Amino acid sequence: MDIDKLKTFASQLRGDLKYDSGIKTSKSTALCMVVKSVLDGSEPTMATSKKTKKIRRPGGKLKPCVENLLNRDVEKGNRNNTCMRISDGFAEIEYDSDSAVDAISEWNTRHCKPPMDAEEVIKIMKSAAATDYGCNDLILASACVGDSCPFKPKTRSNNSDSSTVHSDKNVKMVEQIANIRSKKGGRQHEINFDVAKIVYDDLCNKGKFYWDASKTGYYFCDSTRLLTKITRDDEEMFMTLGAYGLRPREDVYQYTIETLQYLARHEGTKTKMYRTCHIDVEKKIGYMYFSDNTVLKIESSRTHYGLNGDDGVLFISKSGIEPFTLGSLNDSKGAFKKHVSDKINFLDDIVSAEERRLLFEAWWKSLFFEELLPSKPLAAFVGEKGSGKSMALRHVGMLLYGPEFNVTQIPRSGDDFDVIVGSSYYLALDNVDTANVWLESKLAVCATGGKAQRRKLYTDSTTIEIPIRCFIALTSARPHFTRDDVSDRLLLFKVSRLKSFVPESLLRTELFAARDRIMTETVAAIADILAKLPLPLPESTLMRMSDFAAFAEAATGGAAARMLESTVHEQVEFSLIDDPVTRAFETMSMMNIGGKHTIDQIKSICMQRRTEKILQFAMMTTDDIIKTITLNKRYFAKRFKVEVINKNEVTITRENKRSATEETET
Amino acid sequence: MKLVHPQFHYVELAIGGVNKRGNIVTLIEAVAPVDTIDCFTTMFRFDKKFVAYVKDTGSVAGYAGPCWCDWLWYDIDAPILDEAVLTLAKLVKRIESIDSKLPNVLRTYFSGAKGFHCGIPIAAFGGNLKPSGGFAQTMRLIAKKIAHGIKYDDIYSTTRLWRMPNTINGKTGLRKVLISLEDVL
Repeated sequence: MDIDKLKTFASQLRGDLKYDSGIKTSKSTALCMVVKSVLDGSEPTMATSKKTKKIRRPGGKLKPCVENLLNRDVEKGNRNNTCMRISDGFAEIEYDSDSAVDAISEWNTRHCKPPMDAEEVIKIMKSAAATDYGCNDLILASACVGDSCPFKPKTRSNNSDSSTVHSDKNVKMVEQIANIRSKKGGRQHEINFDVAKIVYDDLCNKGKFYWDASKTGYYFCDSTRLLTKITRDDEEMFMTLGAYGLRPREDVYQYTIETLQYLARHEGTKTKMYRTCHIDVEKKIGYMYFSDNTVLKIESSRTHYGLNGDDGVLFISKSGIEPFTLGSLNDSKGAFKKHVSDKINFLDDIVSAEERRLLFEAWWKSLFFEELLPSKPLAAFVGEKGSGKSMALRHVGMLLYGPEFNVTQIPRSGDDFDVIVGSSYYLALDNVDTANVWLESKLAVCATGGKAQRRKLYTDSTTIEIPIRCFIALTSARPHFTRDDVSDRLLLFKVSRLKSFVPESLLRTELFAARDRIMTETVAAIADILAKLPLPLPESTLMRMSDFAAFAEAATGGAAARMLESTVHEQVEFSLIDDPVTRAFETMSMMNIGGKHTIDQIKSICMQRRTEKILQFAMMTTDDIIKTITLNKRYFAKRFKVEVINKNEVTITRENKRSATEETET
Repeated sequence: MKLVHPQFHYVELAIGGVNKRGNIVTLIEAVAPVDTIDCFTTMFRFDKKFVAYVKDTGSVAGYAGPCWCDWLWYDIDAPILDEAVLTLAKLVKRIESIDSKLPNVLRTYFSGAKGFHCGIPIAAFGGNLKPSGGFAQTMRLIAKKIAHGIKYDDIYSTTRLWRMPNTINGKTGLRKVLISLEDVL
């Protein structure tokens, strides 16, 4: 929309100045129903059945639709529901209960495939006493005789609430599908084909089909702007096909899903799907997707709202950010610092607390630039209990996805991990303190943005590829992800125990009160970074995550280089926490042993304290040990004052305070 | 067009601000002078009882007698215009989902500041609505039911003043003008 055009309109007269007395228009039956429901003080009737006071017609005739149901074959999956409607039909006319049981039992024997247990039928009949099904019920509608029905209410198709309503056209389609399915003598595959064709044709009229690089089909509805993955398990797909009277347990449902998948691949358009945020690097436009299917389009000079699918940018439903009120972009500076990063007690160490805070803010901004970070840093909050690690990550998630967000426990298996990571945009893994054999490899893959491959269930050789584009953050008190290729990709946020504890509820209240300002500030930061695109890559960086290094440079205004260098040193230290050589020198240090030693001597000294790591050290070759020390020279020199004399000898200088004191005392 | 419920032809006219109240006129007289700033009439129109009430009490405050309106208005306001456009789009979509023909009969005004006034003709609601003392409350309930969670300002009080089309909004200097949905969506 052009705001200037609107303002030009508003600067001159348009139309007359008289009272606007309405226009002549035909009445809308749907609106009439709304008025009626308001005047009656009741809700408008919905398509689905609802519990109401049962209408009684003692001694009356069965409704034609119920009679039709009595003569129709029913398969497993539909027997219960159909039995409920038939029982309700008998209850309505207060049919003699014994005779009703006989009639329904006969129907069960003749038409149910396979027949239900007699006890179950009685149970269903009792339940039916509490319900009342009207003409809008899908099963009754499928057996409706139309205008010739003497019980047809005058307003049968005039439902007012469109979100759950089935229009005349839809009811007809459901009837058509039901007729095909109840066709006597029809072969199942023919029925499936006909139903799937009707559904596909109708969906084509209402929206478009797409598929992406992972060969998954999607359906985009033009009116709701929802992008739905075509799978049997998808909830949105269940709602879409449910409107046609199809249920997941039925064969025809699976057939229809497979048909839609096939046609999406062959007739649909290939495109790329996004979650939560997208950056068009060439056009320098950022897109932020909200859970109400709207999209905030961010450009360096302005921001404006659109809908999902505008500009051909499609977001997968349920990946949206919780909507917020966007304020003035210049008025919300420092809100993230005040309400999020200042609440975290960062540790002053190799990297200072202030540097950690700046890096944390850069990482937060990076969450909105997935396209710029094909390799993503793993944000690791490491610290003792009570240091607010989980809270920090939870708050980041809440800023994005609202109060329902929470941190996730590490899944039991690597396969589960793949699924969670493949379907998330931001994942906060809490308490990653147990050693899992698969964890380090999976984390390394996630950081490099690869694909997770799995065998498709119930197949021998079909594989599924799950692209990983997820930002992962972890918390740990005793980290077990110290493998060097993982620690190279860590963005370590060391935290120390909080001095005083504020109730989480209070922190949440404060966070949500400031959320609009924080998000507005973030939008301003995104616009600022967009103006700097394409980001200049640093000429050389010690950091393996050079994508993040380039981003952090832009996000922190050039202050990142020194911080990242310190981070690299910290990464090395982190990777050596569990190293056998480190443990051996720590042992020597604890035993107050210094001076010149051969590797073999060190081994025999350390073996006095047999631990798993010491045993590992004892089994290492001299070359490997010297190589480890040489490669991490700076680290060892700093912590233990270890110097390599020759290929077999090292000097260990006792440095720690305890030994120095003891020496003085001696 | 023939006026529905012609006996309800009185409105309150406020020229120059919402505090300039108490001037009861007929619909024919309710014309804003060209280029006047902040002109309002009551959103609802009234019958003689209203005139008598104002004569007795000297004010429209507290009037709860019968009234009528030809439009069900929605007042969509937001801190920034883009957001208001978005809400308007949602409302139009919602109305369209109720009845696909309805968007053609909607009347939408840019308020001259940061919002829109969008009206559904009462004629579309059929003959069930009648002038009454609770008409404003009925409008409130119908509006809520139609909007289905979409945000709008609650303007459904009997004596609510409503900015007249083509008059100038004092805050911005822009007019409240009729626009087509294609202009904004």
